[in-house]
Amino acid sequence: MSRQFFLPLAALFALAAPVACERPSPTTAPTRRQVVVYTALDRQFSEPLLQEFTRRTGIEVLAQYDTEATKTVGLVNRIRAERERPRCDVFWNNEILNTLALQDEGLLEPCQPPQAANYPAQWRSPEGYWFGFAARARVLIVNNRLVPDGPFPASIRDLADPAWKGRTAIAKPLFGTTASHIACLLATWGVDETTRFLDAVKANDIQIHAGNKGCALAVGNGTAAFAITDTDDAIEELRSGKPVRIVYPDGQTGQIGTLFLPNTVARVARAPHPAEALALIDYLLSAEVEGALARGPSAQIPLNPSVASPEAVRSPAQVQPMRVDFQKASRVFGDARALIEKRFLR
Amino acid sequence: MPMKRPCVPTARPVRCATSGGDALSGSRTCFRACFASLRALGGRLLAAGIVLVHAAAVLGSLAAPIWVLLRAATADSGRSLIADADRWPALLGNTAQVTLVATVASLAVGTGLAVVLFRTNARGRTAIIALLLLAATIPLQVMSAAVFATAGIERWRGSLPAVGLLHALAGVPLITLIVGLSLRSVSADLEEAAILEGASVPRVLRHVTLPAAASGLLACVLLLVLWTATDYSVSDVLLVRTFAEEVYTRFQLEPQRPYASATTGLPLLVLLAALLATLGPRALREPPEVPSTAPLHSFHMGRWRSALSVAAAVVGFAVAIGPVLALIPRLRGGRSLIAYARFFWPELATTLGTSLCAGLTCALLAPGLAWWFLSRPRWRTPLAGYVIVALSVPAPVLAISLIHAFNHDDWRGRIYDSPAMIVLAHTVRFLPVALLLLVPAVRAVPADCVRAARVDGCGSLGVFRHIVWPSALPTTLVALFVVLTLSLGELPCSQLVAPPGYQTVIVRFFTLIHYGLYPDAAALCLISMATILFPWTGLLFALRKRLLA
Repeated sequence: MSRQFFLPLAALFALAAPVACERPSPTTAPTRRQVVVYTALDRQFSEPLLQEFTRRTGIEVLAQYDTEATKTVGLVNRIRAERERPRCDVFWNNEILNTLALQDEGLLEPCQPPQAANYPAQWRSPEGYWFGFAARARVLIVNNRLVPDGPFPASIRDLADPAWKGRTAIAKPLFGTTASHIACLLATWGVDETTRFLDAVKANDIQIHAGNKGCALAVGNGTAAFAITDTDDAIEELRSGKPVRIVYPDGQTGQIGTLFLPNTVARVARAPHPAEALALIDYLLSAEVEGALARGPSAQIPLNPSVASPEAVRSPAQVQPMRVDFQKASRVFGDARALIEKRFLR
Repeated sequence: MPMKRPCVPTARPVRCATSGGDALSGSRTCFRACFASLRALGGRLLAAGIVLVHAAAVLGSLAAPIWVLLRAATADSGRSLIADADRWPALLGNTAQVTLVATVASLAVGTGLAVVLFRTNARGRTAIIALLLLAATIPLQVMSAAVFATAGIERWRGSLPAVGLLHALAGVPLITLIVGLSLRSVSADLEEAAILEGASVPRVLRHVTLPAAASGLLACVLLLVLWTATDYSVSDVLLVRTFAEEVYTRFQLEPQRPYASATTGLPLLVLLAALLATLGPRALREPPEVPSTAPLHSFHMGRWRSALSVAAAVVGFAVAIGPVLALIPRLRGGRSLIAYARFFWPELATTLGTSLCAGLTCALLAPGLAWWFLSRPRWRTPLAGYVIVALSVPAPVLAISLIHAFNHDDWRGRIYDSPAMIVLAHTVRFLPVALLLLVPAVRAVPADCVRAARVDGCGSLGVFRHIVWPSALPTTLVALFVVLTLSLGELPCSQLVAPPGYQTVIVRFFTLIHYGLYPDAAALCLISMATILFPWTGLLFALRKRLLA
């Protein structure tokens, strides 16, 4: 055979090979039980749980994971783009507002997993469209050496305190839990107060970092005195021996409380495997799974009252939680982004 | 160049052989012959079926950038375009600065290195080229993560030159290879004539060699500008606002209107079009009427030989081994490399398989497409337009359009549910890059040979098969390598179109470094490089005569 034709023949094989690697299509009649889950929770935490589910039930789990680079919106966009022929059965989000957005667009369908009854009503949809579990809290991470004594930051409003000008940090507020936090503030405070707060934060020369992890690192290495971040990123710095402490902000009487953002799990509308999806959702809501997530490196906060909270974190029963209408926050998410864009994008 | 006779396929008739006394034996022979013919026919039909289906998939997916452009050109998108206009000057300025730093730095270092490695008698050239080939496979995101792990990230935050220099660092290996091959396509007669006239080596390089290799240099400029201007991974981490990052941000902020974000990049598309229109014709220089008969000259460096060899080795070592050295200390506290290799095998297999398939697909399509379009002058402008649009369309929007195109309950759904979607996405993204490389090479095919072939009765297909394809084969292999390398680091499309259960190395890498799992991330990078090293070494071995003869 001429060497010149080796390349075209290899290319011919190359064209056929990827399709030959196709697994049985999740959207055609399967020969074995399987469930497709799109999960925003980092793979190293979610994969062991999904593998355990397969071991127990024999249902194969085909998982699609997200990356920090796309910050959940990648999976949400996929579900939207696949609306004509849904491939995903279960959407496991690591926050709530995008889940509610999908509900509003009619891309979720209700179900009734038995384990959901173990959760307080505020952490699940009344109609059964979504279920919250294993939360993260929005906390202040404070550098003990840069802030040894009082006045000690204890509220998110301290991010705008001129005493800390240029020494506070926040993740890029356009995406992720930071954007969700601002949307929740907008839903709780209203436009005027939220606008004043954001203007004050911007005027205080707050450091903007690429993500919550970057904020926690900045405080850990002393670049910033304190920052607002998620509990899992703050715990990481604490456990690595950095001179930091975690403050659950706004816990005093009359203050708005600490925001807890739950993981949410929901069944996608017209899911190809509805029964398997229900089984997976029920499994994820079990006390065993919440306990595993709580004991793991990410120290997710259990919302099931029967599951013990890890020592390093505080649950909504132990600190004053922020009372948020998540449905309203989801609807004003676009407005929140417009406020953020005007101040932090230009 | 020796001409091969046009090959006329001859039919092989089926013969049924029977002997007088053994009807059964004769029947068996006849049956076997019929079966062999049917099997041959079936094989051809199967191959034809595979080609047709995949050609439809590939050609259909290649239409995605045009589809995105048409969807973006709506009144609703126009509203957001006008609203963003006040940010254009700052975004264009930042993008221009980053691109300028990346292009100048990468081209300067890459050209110098290419001259030393491909046209001089420097020592250790094969080893250094092998190092650069390996370095070229390190994705930009991994290179920057290694730099940040070593030098820290805080001091670079907001720094435009830092973003440009990181792109330059990642681009040097590829640029060296492309420029090196261009330098080897220079007419030796011209150089010999200049040397006989008494010109020194620097003067020959300056006035003969480099100008003659201008098409390759311009292709490198285009590649660098396009690559830097449309990438947001580094600028996003360092919080530098560029147009690519703005498009990505708009895509994230308006998920219900994915096509609207494409219009945000319209000024960038216009600038890239202007650049291509300006530099493109120069890159498509007229082919030599008479091919050079003299062997290519290798410049002797004399007393500078050792110094230049050491300098080239240092640069090659720095770009190839530097990131590895930065990653090795991070392995502490993790598992063994063998355990990691088993753990990450699914990602490695997915990445290698899809990148290789995408590279082979582009290598198969690009020479034929380049030849077809160059043979038809009125199609050159549409081809240039397609290349500009395809390179300027934001990757996430392209992925969404592919999802819309293939997520259906028919044969397209089968492709959608397979890793072929990753291959298609990479093909759509990087075929224009392959075209940019192949067009000058195809254009440089001596017109004399083509005319002689036509006089001998060769049709277009025969000319392509016997003249164009062999001439363009070295550049085709380079295009294969370039596409494969770009595929290894492709993130936004892979993330959106990969079917559940498949994840590429770069996606996994991002997940690992987010949670600070540096031992795992470092191991993944090292294993990826080691896995890729062996086929690259084989490629270098196959190319060594063409590259270093």
